[in-house]
Amino acid sequence: MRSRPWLLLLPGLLWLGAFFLLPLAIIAVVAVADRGAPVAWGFGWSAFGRLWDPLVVPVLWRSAWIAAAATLGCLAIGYPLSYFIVRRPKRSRRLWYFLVLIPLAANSLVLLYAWTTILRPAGLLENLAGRLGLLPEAGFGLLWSPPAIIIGLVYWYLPFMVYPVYASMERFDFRLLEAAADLGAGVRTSVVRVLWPQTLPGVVTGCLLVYMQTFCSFVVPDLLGGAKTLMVGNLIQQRFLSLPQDWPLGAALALAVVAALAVVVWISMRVQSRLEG
Amino acid sequence: MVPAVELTGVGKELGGQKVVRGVDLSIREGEFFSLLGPSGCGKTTTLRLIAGFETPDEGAIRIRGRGPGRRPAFAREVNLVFQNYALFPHMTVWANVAFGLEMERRPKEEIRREVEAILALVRLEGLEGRYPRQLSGGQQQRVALARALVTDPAVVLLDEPLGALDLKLRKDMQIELKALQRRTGVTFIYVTHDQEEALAMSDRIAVMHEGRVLQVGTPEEIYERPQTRFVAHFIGETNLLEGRLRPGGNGVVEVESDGLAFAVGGGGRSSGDEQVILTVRPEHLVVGRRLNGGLENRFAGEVVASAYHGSERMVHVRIGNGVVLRSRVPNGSAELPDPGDAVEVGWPAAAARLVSPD
Repeated sequence: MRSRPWLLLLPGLLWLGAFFLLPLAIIAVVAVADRGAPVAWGFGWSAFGRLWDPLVVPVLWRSAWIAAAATLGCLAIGYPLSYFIVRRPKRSRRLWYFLVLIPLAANSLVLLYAWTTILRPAGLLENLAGRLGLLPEAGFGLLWSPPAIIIGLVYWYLPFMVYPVYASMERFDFRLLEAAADLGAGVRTSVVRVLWPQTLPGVVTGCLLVYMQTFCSFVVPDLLGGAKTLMVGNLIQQRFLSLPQDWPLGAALALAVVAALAVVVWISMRVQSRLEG
Repeated sequence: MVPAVELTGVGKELGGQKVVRGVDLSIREGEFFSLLGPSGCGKTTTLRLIAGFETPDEGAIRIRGRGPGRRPAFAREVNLVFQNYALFPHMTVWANVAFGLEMERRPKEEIRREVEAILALVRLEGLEGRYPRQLSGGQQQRVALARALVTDPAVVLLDEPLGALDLKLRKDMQIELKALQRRTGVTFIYVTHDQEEALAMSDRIAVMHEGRVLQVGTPEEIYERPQTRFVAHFIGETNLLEGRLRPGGNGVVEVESDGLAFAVGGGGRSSGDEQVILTVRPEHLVVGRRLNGGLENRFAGEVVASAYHGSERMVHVRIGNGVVLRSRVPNGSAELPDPGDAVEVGWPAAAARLVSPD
């Protein structure tokens, strides 16, 4: 039998062609069209010019830093959590890991509504803080603010950090920590100089997965951010669906996001290959 | 003189099993000391106890006369060479070796000098910039040694460090390790299940079995004068015969086994009528069509097998009542019997020993 390895590519190509490349092409066509009701077919770069609009730039900037903060939050929780899980005996490890994945299995919309009841003014959190005498008079004002979005994003995307970090820790030879201790290293030195550098590939992958998804997240800022704290996903949606409609700007924004994230992917791949030497 | 390492009545339970029981050891300064035994005998746990990775349930461990208290592994003057070296894969040879000195916060200039000196000692000059994965097994082994030696510890512990190497390299590294230990004068405690390795390298050996130390002695003592059945059987090859003790004459005792009487050199236990085990090494057995007189033990038998081992031949001889004895015959000896030949097999009483049934 003759082998035709490219046949293995066919399903993937068809799928990507139909549901990624084709829509992307349509978006590109919309992006170079003119504003109309909702769009006037034509050719021009004006929509890309509107990316620098004072109403657009702060949203892009906010998306970038909120995504970065959420990524750091996921790392700050996910890294020690992964370490904890990987040091459990083999049997309970699977259970812990399963527990981390549970939020993915539940309906995320319901979970996010639950967060609004916790974070809203006079909600669960402020109530609790009030009883402990820790609540400032004006309240925390958490809901409909960037911190609420970050909390929701960390909550939702934590498993995407834990998975690659846990995988890299599972491959780590924990005798190296014993070796470091044997040579006089304390716990902190061992982690910083031995564990961290060797789990860095997992960390980079985790950060990439979380950053890409949080940057264009749409549901979380919609529910927890309110009307004032838009992220780029919300802005794109509005330009397509709410007044004043501007399809070319929405499409140009979408393309800009794809391009920006492609750059992020490229950089992290460079970092990865350097790490793996 | 204060022993480098002293264990008194050390016991340790792991996973509900007593893996180390009542171990007493006194290891001298500058000694090459081996813990020898089959897998699961407790030797590695004993090593980890000395390293401080485990704490004993019973007994005490003293390093140069000082108890460890609750101090962690690094506070002791003990460094471990791990079974698979446990080199830091993301660090160069230089950084691996310098790690321990950096932890001690030595001055930069001193670190440079010490690392250079130790790399020269283990013959790794020129490889400072390499990463562990770019090194051969033998070179990795030497990096691990350099890393353990560079901080000038009182004791270096080695956990089957040659296990991952192939036979030829193993033999070379045995000689190199021994020479290195001699040159540095550092006390080595070496864990191995390979009796040949232990015999070839050690000043003294402790044979361990089921968590206990059965015998401590020089390689010669362990091999020539085993005290227990296990030691005789585990170290080298031997013939074991069970029998009943009988008083004999001329400072010789006799063991009656399966209707045959075996003479055993004097000393040892000689109260009559008890079950004993007799051991005699194959190299002490002589086989021939007709043996000269002068051997206290001489039996007629038949050759049942003869296996070629290069420098020697192992001849299996069945004597009366079906007992099969093995005799090591150097190649080049005049007559080499074939299977089926009627022969005589014999040995001097002094070559045989009585051992306890442990």
